Amino acid sequence: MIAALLSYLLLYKYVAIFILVFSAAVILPLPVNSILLAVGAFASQGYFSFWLSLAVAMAANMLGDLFGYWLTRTYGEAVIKSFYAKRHEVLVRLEKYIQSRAGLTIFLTRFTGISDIAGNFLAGIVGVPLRTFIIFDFLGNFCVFFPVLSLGYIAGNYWQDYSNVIDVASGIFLVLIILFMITRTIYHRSKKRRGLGI
Amino acid sequence: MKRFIDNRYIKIALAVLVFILIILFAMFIRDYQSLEQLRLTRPYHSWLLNAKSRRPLTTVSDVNSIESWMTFDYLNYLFNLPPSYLKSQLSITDTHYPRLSISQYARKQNFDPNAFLDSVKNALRPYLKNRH
Repeated sequence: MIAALLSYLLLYKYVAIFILVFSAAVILPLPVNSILLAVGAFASQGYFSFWLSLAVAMAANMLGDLFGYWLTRTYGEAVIKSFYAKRHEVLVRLEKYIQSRAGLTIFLTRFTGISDIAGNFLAGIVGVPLRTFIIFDFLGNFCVFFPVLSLGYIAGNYWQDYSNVIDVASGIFLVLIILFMITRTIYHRSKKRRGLGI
Repeated sequence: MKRFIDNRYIKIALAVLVFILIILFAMFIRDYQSLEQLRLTRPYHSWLLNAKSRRPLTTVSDVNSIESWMTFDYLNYLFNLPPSYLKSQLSITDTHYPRLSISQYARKQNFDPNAFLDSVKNALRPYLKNRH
């Protein structure tokens, strides 16, 4: 699949970057890290412009994120109500958690593909303000895209060797975030129980 | 009872996540070690190693970096070729040339993809040799 995407990249350049990154941000499971590494490598050869590629990738990803956010912001409530007459306890707790740490949640979820999409949907459902979403989405995307493009630029012809390392590192980051959230929940529960003398 | 069940599920989830984390770390170490073997773990080192791969590629051994997903347009750029060189050498009649990839053209013509890739590399070697 990556070979076909690379041909597409070489043929349609910035249009291809935009379409692929936008589609991945909305829902498609595309290997965006590998694509950006390749674009960085092509930029090191002068076939792409590094800064234009970064701008296009960030614009595409932000538009995709905003689309997911808008979709759940507009229709999320109605969909939930059609399944649950009363908001599920888990959703209420999740809403409180995200609302109290909206910026950090949006920023951290930019670092892995799956959590990026989930973060957009959750941000829309819990009603994170648009300005907050845009600011932290921009910061998170920059902190991901710039290093990956730069790594591709430095790696040059060897960019494919870095691709596996980055994918595994993203997986590690995602698992660590989930572990952090679970251990925090356990800690707060035991603290509450101790406070109640249980 | 509900709290007990909740805690049990949380512990199971934690155990599964820790197990996944250990596997991912092992994979990361394995991949990092293979990068070390290629001497690619220090950015400056990588930069020097890849300095040659920055356009244009000029030596005969550079043709080994050609892959079938590359387009003829990209090859012309990378190797600084005359636009119609590969078209005449490989007798390419497709009107999309040079905006098609090696694998795309091989598929259209029912060529063996690896064999056609070799013929592209063989077409380039004498040109690069004579350029020196």
